[in-house]
Amino acid sequence: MTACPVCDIITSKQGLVYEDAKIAAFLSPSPLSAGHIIVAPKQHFPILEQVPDFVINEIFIKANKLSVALFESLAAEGTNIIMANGPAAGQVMPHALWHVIARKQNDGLALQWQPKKLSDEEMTKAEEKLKSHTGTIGNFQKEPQKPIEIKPPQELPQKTEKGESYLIKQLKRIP
Amino acid sequence: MPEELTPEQTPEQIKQQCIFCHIIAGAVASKKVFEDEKVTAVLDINPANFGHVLLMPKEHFAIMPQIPDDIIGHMGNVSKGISLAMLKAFGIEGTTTFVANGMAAGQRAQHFMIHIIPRTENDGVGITSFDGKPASPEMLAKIKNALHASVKKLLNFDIPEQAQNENSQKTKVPTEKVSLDDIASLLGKK
Repeated sequence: MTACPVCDIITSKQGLVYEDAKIAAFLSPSPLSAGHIIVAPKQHFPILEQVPDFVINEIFIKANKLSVALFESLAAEGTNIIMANGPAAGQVMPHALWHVIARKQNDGLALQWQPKKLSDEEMTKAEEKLKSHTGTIGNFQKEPQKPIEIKPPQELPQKTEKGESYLIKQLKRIP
Repeated sequence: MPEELTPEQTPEQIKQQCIFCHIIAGAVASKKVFEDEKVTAVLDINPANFGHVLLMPKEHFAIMPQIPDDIIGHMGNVSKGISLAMLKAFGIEGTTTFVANGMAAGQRAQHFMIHIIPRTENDGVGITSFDGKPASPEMLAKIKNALHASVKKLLNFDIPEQAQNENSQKTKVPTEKVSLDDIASLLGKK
């Protein structure tokens, strides 16, 4: 047992519906609907901002496909993809994760908000504050290249019984 | 009301009827907070909270399944960037990233978008509970079976029959763990 229930589920493969080298997807043990998948990086990161960009890239691509799978195989009428970052947003696991939730018309799930009325001044203030921090978005982290595999030196092509090797013959054809 | 879209309509006609395409093109005023070659992010005029952002692909896609992998992956990365920018700009305690696919899930716009919502404790937005009743093992097995063919087709992955605790490859799990209190402080420090 580790201190992180999400790491435990990923390791045990309980309810697993997809995995690759970087991410895992499993059925929520206490689902909001029949068709509630949790997609998470395999490596343990507590908050969104710590998950490397190349992992987020995969999570969104795969969450989109898992959402389509919910439509196709469970006759979902809609899906929500939700990331709760921080306890204030409803994060309860110390592991960053994305919910992919199958929806039906009038299923009674409380996943909608009431709009707030903000004044023009407040909207402008939000715009200016946020804009001063979005300039650095871009240059997303690429997956580190694996070290180049160094193979033991190959022996030179040997002469075959027919004479020279195919490779040497080809070389000699070059004027 | 715009006339109902028909398959005969050209992409250009669809674009002309989409208010968000007009916003992206700059023909309709908006509060743009981020833009690059693939996406535009604007403030939602009906915000769930102060600073609520809509992140949209510049190209018109009505629904998420139409979106190519490179664009949806890019949107994921930008959503993380906007969340970080919000944490820095607003002194908030978290963010909610939210996608609605289909009317049943709350999709109202005819242009795909990702909502990024700044959060504070008890802000009244809701969307804070993602746990229902524990599902029976039979129920979960049934759902896994139902998903098998689609996941094979869409993700080229064979869902294993059951957990193979003994034989499973151990995933590398870092030993250092962080509690939820630590998360709150991590977010606060940003």
